[in-house]
Amino acid sequence: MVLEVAAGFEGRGVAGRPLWGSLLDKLEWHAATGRRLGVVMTVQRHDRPHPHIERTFTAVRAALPAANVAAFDTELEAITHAPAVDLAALDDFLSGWLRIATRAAADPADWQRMHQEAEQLQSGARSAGPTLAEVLGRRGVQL
Amino acid sequence: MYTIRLGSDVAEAQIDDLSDAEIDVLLEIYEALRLTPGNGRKLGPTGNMYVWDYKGISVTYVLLDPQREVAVLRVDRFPI
Repeated sequence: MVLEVAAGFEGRGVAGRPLWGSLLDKLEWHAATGRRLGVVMTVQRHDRPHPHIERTFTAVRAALPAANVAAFDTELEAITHAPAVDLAALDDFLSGWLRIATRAAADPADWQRMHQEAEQLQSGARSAGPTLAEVLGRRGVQL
Repeated sequence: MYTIRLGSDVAEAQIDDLSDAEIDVLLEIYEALRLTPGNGRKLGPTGNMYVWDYKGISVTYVLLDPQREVAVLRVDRFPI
């Protein structure tokens, strides 16, 4: 798996840095740790089965919709460009993007619809709805 | 302070489906989003879509800066 991670980033401007050689073993350890500790299974809105995506940088990146790959790369670059790489941040990064990739793969149409909704809101084509306080108030939760 | 609004009917239905314990988590996220919505994980190089993950809940939202509003698009449980 270590070799797969390294090979997967060749040609994308990430591999080849001196830090990767020493980092990959640590990443392997963190990925394994995440698998052991990061399991939170709940039922989703549509009760769809979630596709299994391997918890590696290459697998997660490959599973992302095209619209989100650049953000993945940008954030990874920012973390790995630091003089001292924060391994906890890198682990959080991988966990976070694995969740994003899994959600997007579980219902690609909804993921795309969500992006369209965001564009409409940003362009002013539609306006946002009630406040969260109002919605929760209907449930008896006061903010 | 930002105003948190619902940007999608789907988000509203998802919130209705949350347990009381999950609502408590959502309230913690709510407090963070009111103050620093730009600190979430950005979903694209352009645009203002973010995800905020916390204690088993992922809130996906768009930041509408001129209005100082956050429009919540989805409130998902962690898939894994």
